[in-house]
Amino acid sequence: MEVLQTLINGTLTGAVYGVVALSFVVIYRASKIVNLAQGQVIMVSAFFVWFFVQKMEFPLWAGLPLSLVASVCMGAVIERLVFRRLIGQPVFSVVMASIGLLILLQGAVQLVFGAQTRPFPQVLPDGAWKIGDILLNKSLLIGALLTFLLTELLNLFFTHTSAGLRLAAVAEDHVTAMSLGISVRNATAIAWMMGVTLSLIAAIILLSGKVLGLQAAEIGLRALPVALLGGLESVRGASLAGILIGIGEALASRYIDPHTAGAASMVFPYLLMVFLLLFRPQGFFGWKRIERL
Amino acid sequence: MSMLPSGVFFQSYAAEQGLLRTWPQRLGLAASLLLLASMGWLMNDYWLGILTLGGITLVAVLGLHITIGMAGLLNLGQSAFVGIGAFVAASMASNGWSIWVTLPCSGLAAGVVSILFGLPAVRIKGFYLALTTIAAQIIFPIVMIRLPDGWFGGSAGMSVEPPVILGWVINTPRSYFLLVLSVAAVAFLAATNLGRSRTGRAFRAIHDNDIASSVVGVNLAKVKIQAFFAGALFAGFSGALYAYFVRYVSTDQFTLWLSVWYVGMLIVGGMHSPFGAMLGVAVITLLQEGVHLLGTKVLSSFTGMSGGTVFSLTNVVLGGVIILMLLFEPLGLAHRWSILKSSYRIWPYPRG
Amino acid sequence: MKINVWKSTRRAFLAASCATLSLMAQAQQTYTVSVSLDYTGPFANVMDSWWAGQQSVFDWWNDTKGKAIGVKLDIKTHDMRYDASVVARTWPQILSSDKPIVFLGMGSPDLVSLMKRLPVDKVPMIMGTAMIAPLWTSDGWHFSYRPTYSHEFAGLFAYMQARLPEKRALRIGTVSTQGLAGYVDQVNGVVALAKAYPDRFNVVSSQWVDNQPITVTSQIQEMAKFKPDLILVGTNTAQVVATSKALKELGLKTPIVTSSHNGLTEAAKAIPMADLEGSYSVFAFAPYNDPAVKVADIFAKYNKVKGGTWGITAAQTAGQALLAVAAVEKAVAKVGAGNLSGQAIYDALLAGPYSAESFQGLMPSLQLRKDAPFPTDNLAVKAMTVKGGKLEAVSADWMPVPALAKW
Repeated sequence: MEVLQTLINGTLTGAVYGVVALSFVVIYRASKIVNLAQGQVIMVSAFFVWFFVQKMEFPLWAGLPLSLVASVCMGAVIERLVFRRLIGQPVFSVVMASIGLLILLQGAVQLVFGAQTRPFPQVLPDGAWKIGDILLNKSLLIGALLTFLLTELLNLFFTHTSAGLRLAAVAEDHVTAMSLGISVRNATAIAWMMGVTLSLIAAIILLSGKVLGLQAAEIGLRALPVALLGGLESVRGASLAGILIGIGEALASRYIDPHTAGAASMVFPYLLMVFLLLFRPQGFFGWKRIERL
Repeated sequence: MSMLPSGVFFQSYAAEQGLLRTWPQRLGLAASLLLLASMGWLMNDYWLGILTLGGITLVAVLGLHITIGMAGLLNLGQSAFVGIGAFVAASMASNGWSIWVTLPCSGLAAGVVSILFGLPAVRIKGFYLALTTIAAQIIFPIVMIRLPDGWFGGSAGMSVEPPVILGWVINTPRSYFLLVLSVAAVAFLAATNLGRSRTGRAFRAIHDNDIASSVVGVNLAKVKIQAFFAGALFAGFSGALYAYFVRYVSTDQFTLWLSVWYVGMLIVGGMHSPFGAMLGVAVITLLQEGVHLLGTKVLSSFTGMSGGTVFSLTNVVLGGVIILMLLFEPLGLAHRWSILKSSYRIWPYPRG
Repeated sequence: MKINVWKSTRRAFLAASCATLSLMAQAQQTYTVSVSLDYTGPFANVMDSWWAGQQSVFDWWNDTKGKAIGVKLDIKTHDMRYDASVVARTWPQILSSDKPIVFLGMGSPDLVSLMKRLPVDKVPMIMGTAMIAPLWTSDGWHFSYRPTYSHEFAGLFAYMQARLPEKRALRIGTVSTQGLAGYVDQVNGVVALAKAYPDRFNVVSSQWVDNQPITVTSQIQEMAKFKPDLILVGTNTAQVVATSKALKELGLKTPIVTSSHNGLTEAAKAIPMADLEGSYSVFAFAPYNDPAVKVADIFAKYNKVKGGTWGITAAQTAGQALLAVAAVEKAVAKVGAGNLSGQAIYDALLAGPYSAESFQGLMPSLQLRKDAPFPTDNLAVKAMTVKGGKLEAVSADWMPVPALAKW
C-alpha cells in the first residue's frame, strides 16, 4: 500500500515536471531554440496570473485569459528582440542569450513586482480524493490529466499536421529550412507563443493555492534533466521522462534518502541524465543526429 | 598580430616567439604592473576590496576562457570548481599547511574533479554538455554537505586563517591585494601562453570542428579532458584565494547564479582572449558597483523608493548588456578594442 | 566704586565662562554604529521594515536617553547583499572610515565572515536572528539576544507539555530539509531536548522534504501514524503552507509550530487564517501586537522609512537595536561618555544582567556570558497562536525555556 501511494505521488509530481519540460521541449521542437530561462518564463507567467486575479481582482474566467494574452505578448517580445536575430547562429550563442535572458528576467520581475512572497490564486481545487487508503491530490491529478491531454495534442500537431512538420524542419536546421522556403521567423514566433502558453499552464498547476515568490523559477532547473532524458525534440518523451523521474525521486526519497541524508532524491535526476547521455546522447526519444565533416 | 617598427630583428627563433619583443613593450608591461601594484597604496580600502575580489574572479574567468573560449566546451559549472578549490584550501589550511602547498593542491583537486565531469564531454556535445556541467554545479553542494564534518565542515562550512607568506601575515587589504595581483598576473600569463602552445592550438582546433580535428590527428578525448582540467585548475586557484580572503567557506557561496555571471562576464568581455576575460570582469564589476552607488544615492535622496527595487536593477542591466552584446558584438568588447586599435593604426585609411 | 564694578563684572564674566564651558562639556559625543542590510538578496523584500525597526529605536534613543547622557549615535548602513565576500571586502573600509563602536549584523554572511575578525578588530556585533549550534562558540565578540531556534521551540514545548490532559511526554513531529545547516540544526536541537528530558518530550517522527516542496502529503501521512501532538516546521513559509494543506487533505487538525521568519502572518498570505487555527509561532521576543510592548509606540512616533511597517520583522530588529543602546548606556555609566569604544561596549554586553524594563517590554531580562554568543540561562520566550481566526498571544507572561546544553 505504501509503495503504491509512493508511486502515485511520484507520478503526480512527475507530471508537473513533465509539463514544465514540455514547455521547454515545445520551444525547441518548433525552433531549435534552447531556452535555459524557462523557469523564469514560468515565474513571469505566474506573476501575471497573480496580478490579474489577485491584485486586480478579476474573476478567474477573465483573469486567466488576460494573463494568457500578457504572457504571449511577453513571449513575442522576447522572441522578436532576442531570438529572431540569432536565427542561424550556432547553438552556443542561443544558449548564451538564454542565460542573459535568465538574469534579465529575474531582475525585471524583482524590479516590477518586488521580492516579497504573495499568495497565488486557487485556480485548481484544493484537497485530495480518497480511494480506499490512497490519497490523490486534486490539483496535481487534474494537472496530470491536463498534461497527458496536451502531450497527445501536441504530438498530433507535430507529427500529423503540415504546420507541425514544417516546424520540425526548422528544428532540424535553420538554414536548411530556409532553403526549403519555410519561414523560420514564423516558426520561432509560433514556438514561443506555444511555449509561453504551456509555461502558464505549468505555473498554474505548480503554484495553485500556494505561495508565489522569486524562487518559483527554480523549477526550471529541475525540469531540465527531464527534458534531456526524454529527448529535446520529443513531446511524448518529456512527459514520460517527467513521470519516470517523479517516480524515481519519490522512491529514492522514501527508501534511500534516510541513509544518504536526503542526497539520493536530489541527485537522482541529474545522475540519471548524465548516465543516459553517456550511452544515448539523444535521450530516450530524441532525434539521432548524424554528424558530418 | 601587431606590426613591429622597422629596425627590430631577431637572431633566434625563441626571441621571435617571445611575448614581448621590443623594449617599449617591455617598458609598457613593467609600467602597468607597477601602476597596478601601486594601487595597493593609492586606493582606499573599499576600492582595494573590489579590486581584490575582481582579481579573484579574473582567475576563475580566465579558466572559463580556456574551456569555453579556446576549446568551445560550454561549462556552466565553474563556480562549483571554484568551490572545490576553496574547500580544499580551507581544509588543508585548517590542518596547518601553508599557502604554498594549499594553492597548487586546490587547483589540482578542482582539476581532478573536473575530469570526472569532463569524461562525458567526450561523448556529449554542445548544449547537452552545458547541462552536464549544470548537473555538476547542482550536485556539488549536495555532496559537499554530506561529507564528514571533519573534512569540509559539513553543512555549516569552515573558517580559514589568514595565510602567511615568508613570515608576513596577509590580513590587510593591501597585502591581500598584492597577493591576488601576483597570482592573477601569473594566471594571465599562463592563459596567454597556453593559447600559443601546441595544446592551445589543439583546443582551438576542436572548437572549430571536432570531427575534422580528430581526422587530422588530435586525440579528441584527451584534449577535451585537458581543456576541462585547465579551466578547473584556474578555478581551483581562484577558490583558494577566495577562501583566504573571505576567511570562511560554505556551499552557498558557490551557486549556479555565480557560474552564470562568470559566463556573462566572458560574453561581455570577449571569450576568445585573456584580455577579453579581463575586460569582462572589469566592466561587469564596475557596472555592479556603479548601480549600487547610484542606488544608494537615489535611496538616500528619495526615501520613497524601496531598496529592493533599486538594486534589482543590477540584474536587469547585466542581463540586458549580455543580450545586447550577443546580438551586436558576439565577439565581445575585446573585439571592439582590437577594431579601435587597428583603426587608429591605419588612420586616415578606412578599416576593412 | 570703580573697583567694585570691575569685581562684579569679572565675577559675571567668570560665571558666564564657567557656564559655557560646562555646557560644552555636556555637548554630545558622537559615535558611529554600523549596520548591515540587504537590498538584493533573500531579505530584500523585508528590508524596509527591518531597517525601520532599527532606525526608529536609534532615533528615539538619540532624542531621549542619548541626550540625557550626552551621547549621539550616528548610524551608517551598508548593503552587504547577503554575501560573505561583500562583507569581507567592505569590513576594512567600515573599520577605517566608520570606526564603529558596535556593528549590527543581519544574518549568516555577516556572522561567518566576521566571527574571527571581531576579537582582533575589537568591535562587538549584535544579531537579531536566532542562533544555531554550529555558531555556538565561546569567547566570541558576536552576540544575539535570541538563543538558538531549538531553545525557542523548547520554551513553547515545555508550556504545551505542562498543559497536556494526561501526564506524559509531548509527542513532537518535525518537518525540515536536509543539506541546509540551520534547518538540520533545528531538528538536532529538538532531538537533544528530548534526550535531555525523555519524560517530557519525545520526537516521534522526523520527516525530510524539499526546500520548496510541491507536496508533503505522503510525509505527513507517514508522520500521522505516530500521532504527534504538534508538528514543528521552523524552516520556511512554503513548507508551512504545504504542511497545512497536507493536514487538510488528511483531515487532521494537528497544530503547527513555526518560528519568527516563517510565522503565522507569512503563511496566512497563502492560506486562510482559519486553516492555521491552533497553530503557533514562537520566538524570544514579545509578539508585536502585545499591548505591553511599548516599542510599538516608539516605532509609530519615530519611523521615517516609507514602506516600513510594524510587524514581526520590525520588532525583531528593534530588539537588536534596544540591546545595542542598553549596552551603550551601561558602558557610559562605567567609562564615561567620552571614552566609548568597541571594547567598552563588549565589556558592557557581558556585564549583565539587562532588565526587561530596559527593553520596553519587547524582550525578557537577559544575561550574556563568554561561553555562548547568546544568553544560556533564564531564557524565556513568547508565542502567538490563532484563536477563532485571529492572531493572539498565547500567554501574557514569558514562558521559561528548559536548560539545554550544547548538542
